[in-house]
Amino acid sequence: MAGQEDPVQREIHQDWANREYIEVTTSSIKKIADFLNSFDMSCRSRLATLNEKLTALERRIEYIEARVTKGETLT
Amino acid sequence: MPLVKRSIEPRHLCRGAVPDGVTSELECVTNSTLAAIIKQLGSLSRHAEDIFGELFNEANSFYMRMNNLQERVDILAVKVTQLDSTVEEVSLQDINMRKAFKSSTIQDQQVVSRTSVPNPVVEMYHRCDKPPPLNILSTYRDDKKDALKFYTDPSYFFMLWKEKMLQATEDKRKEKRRQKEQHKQVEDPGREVKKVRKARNRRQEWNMMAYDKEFRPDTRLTPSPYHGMSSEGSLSPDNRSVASDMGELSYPSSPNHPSQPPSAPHPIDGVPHLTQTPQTQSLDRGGYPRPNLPSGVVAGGRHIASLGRTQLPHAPPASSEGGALNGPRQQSVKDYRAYGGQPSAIPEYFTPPAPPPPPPLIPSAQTAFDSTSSSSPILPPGAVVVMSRPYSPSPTPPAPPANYVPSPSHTPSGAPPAAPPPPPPGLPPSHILPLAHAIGGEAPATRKGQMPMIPISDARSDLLAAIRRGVLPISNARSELLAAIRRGIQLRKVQEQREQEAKREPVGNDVATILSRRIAVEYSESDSDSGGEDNGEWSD
Repeated sequence: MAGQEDPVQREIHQDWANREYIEVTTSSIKKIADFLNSFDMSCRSRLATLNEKLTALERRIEYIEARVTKGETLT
Repeated sequence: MPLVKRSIEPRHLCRGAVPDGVTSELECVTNSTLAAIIKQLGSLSRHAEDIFGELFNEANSFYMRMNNLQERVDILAVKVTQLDSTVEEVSLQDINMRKAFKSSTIQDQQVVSRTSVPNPVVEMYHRCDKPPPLNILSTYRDDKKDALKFYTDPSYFFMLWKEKMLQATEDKRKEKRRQKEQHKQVEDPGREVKKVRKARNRRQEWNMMAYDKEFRPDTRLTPSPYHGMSSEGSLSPDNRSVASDMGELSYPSSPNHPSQPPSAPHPIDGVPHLTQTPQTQSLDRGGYPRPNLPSGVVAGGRHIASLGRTQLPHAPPASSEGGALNGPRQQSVKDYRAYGGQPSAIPEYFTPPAPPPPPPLIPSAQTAFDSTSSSSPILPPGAVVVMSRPYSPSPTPPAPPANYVPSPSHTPSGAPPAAPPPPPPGLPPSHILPLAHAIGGEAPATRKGQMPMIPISDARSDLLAAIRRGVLPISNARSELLAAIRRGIQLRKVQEQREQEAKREPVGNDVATILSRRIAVEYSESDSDSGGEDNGEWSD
């Protein structure tokens, strides 16, 4: 009986080892995916903030340009 | 449940079937699982690249904007250092006249549309089931519509809203036009005057805007020039109304008379001509034909003045009928009198002082009748008389009125009046325009002695030719007008559809433009309402 156990047991042991390896790999993949999502989200939020600041700056610069340059008169 | 944007492809690692004929199944499963893991890593890396690409693109756009801003800031910095308050020209008027600052109000449009769909979603969309290929049937449709649109149309709701908005703008425009027309109908006579006023107003407004509130000149002064205009305007419609009354019966040659004098004087025997528009039909009114010198009369200066002398006594009774028009005409009579109504044999053409709306040649005809009663007592009211003899007032004044009154009353019946008083000696025959004959002049002409007949026929032919020449341009003008009107109507029918399409073309599939157009129509409506009210105030 020990002889029968060995190959099967060895296989099962091996299988368990493989599965653990696979499990580790897939969890890493999931972590990578998670990281990518959160990176994407945070990047987008920061870029949106940047966008707001840029538009505010653009409007201010437009106003200052209008103040500084000699504009056209109505008639 | 949120839509999954990116999904890593082999979802289940070890669910595939184990192929037959394999002894070590566990290893087989392990190997397939590992292969699936590798595929998953592959899709994961693809998704990661996609994510970073999107982020990079956005960051890049911000980088470009930032660079632009940086350049503008640099330019501004340089400009600000160059600013010098001493050099700067500042005039109080210029401050108010400067174009007001308007920030760029660009609205983001089409934010969530087909073009802005991210790539993974596009891929997912393509992996979905397609709608049935109903487009094959489009060629068999009669109305040339897209067959698939009846099954599924992504732009359906937008088109619906667009049609609704355009319809609303059109309705508002029509309402505006109706209101304007109502205003027009209410204040018809002064319409042209009003338009001129409005064109002037803008400049006045701008000039007012140049000053600050404290420095603006008194606005009460400005309406004064318009009062004069309104009063002048009030005269013309009266003139026109009276003239139109009198002109109803006028021959077409009446407006032509101003053109006649410029033509060579018709010197038949070197005689001045008095041409009158044959509005003498209106002479039928009893006692109306008091001779006011016709402002529309073209020929003869002094003769008319001389005629006016006899007419003046009759003028006052006529003035009651004539109204405002006769007033100026009487003045014109007096004016000509002032010129010295000496009878002269020299042919002169009479140019009326007042502007000649087709007028009241009736009075002129009357005057002619009165003065020439000796020679042409039976002259029909519409006769245009040509004075060829010097005027002797003394004997004639009593006679003409007596002759005159019966003549108009008789002419409608067609029977010539009673035998007119014999013409005073020395008075040359007068010429009667053929138009006058047309009324009924044949009979009276024949009744006169043989003497007047011969010269009258010559004059008649000449004058007839002249009048015909004069008539033609008028009729041509009228026919041209009619033709233009007809053409206009036809144009509308033919080009209605084209105009409709042309109106729709420049709209563009833009929510912002459509909405702005509608709002503009609404604002202009309110503006026109207030403007209309202002116009009403002005006209009053």
